[in-house]
Amino acid sequence: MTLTLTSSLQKNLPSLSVKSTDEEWNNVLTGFLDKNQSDISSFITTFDKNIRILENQKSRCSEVVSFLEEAGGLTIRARNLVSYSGTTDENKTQLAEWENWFKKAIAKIDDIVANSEFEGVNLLNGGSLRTGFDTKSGVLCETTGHDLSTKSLGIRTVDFSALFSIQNARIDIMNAIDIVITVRNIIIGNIVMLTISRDFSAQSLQMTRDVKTKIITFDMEAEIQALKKLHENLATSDSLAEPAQKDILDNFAQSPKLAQKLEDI
Amino acid sequence: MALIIDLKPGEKILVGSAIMTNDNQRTRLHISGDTPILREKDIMQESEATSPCRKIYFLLQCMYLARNPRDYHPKYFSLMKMVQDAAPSTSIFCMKINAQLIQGHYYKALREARDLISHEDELIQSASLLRH
Repeated sequence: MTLTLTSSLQKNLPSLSVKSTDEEWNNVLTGFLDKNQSDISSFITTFDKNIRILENQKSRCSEVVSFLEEAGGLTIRARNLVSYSGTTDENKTQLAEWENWFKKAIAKIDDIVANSEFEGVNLLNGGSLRTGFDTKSGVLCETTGHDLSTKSLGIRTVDFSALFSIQNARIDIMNAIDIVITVRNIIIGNIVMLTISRDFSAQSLQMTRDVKTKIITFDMEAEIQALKKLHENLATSDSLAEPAQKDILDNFAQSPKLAQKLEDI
Repeated sequence: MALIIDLKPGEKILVGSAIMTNDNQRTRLHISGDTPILREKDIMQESEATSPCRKIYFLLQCMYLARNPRDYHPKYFSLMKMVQDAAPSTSIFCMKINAQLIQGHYYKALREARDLISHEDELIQSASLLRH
């Protein structure tokens, strides 16, 4: 049996002629759907890999924040001690101990930054992660990291022997926390974006699988009748646009054409 | 790379949520960034979404304009499924649209959707030919 293709189908399936047999239709379509299924599966693999990398890098940022908070807590304790009772000999011993703990916390940060490479990516030393599928389609998302080493974060050599130098350490830590949290928030934002794309891909893949079981032949008459019925069923459906997009489109429709305005003048 | 758009005198264009209207001479715009851009001829009002495939185009357009396109995913997949169930031959276009969306190419997805609408129009026109 031969079937007649629409011009749009011919354009998208150039290997089929205007009059094609059921068998030709089936072969070409199956090939198309298989390729589509394979492409989407590869998209999902890319999304899964990059989401995994970003989740790991987010955790590493959280670890850095924890050590910064620990160091920050020590600056508060040191500041309070010196503010209320000065730098007595007894306090000096305590301050030296806290300074030592501070240095240890800071050293752990540099250790985390140096050892955060995961699947070839380390956003904590200024690396970046690109999510794209081929050179032609460009990059869907690029996560740019930041050097989070204590030197790059601007944490100066610590000195708990005087109030002003303790305050300086406190300021350095607060600034550093802001930077690391900003990087972590960028990573979280990109995780959300990639997760949305991943979910969309999974639903698209399911659609492809479903259609493969149905599209055995191209019965034009049956499709026309079913489309008409669907059209009738959808005629009374609710508005599709959400309020924000409805406003944009309404504003566009209502904004006067300049050409008309000039004529009016 | 910047997008280059030539505007006819008096032509309107949507850039994000802003409407720009060209003055009374031809203009060339160079636009860079990720803001959604739609020319007057590409914009479909909901009242013009008079068929199942036009509704898909309209939903794609809303997704393109939305800050969070995910809000439209349930409606989109539900409508796509209905259209594919009714006319399985549309799946070729649906798959191509989805492939563009996955890569974040909303404008290209809209272009694919125009082919879907043409296919639907041709099917409906064939119905009247078959009847005669």
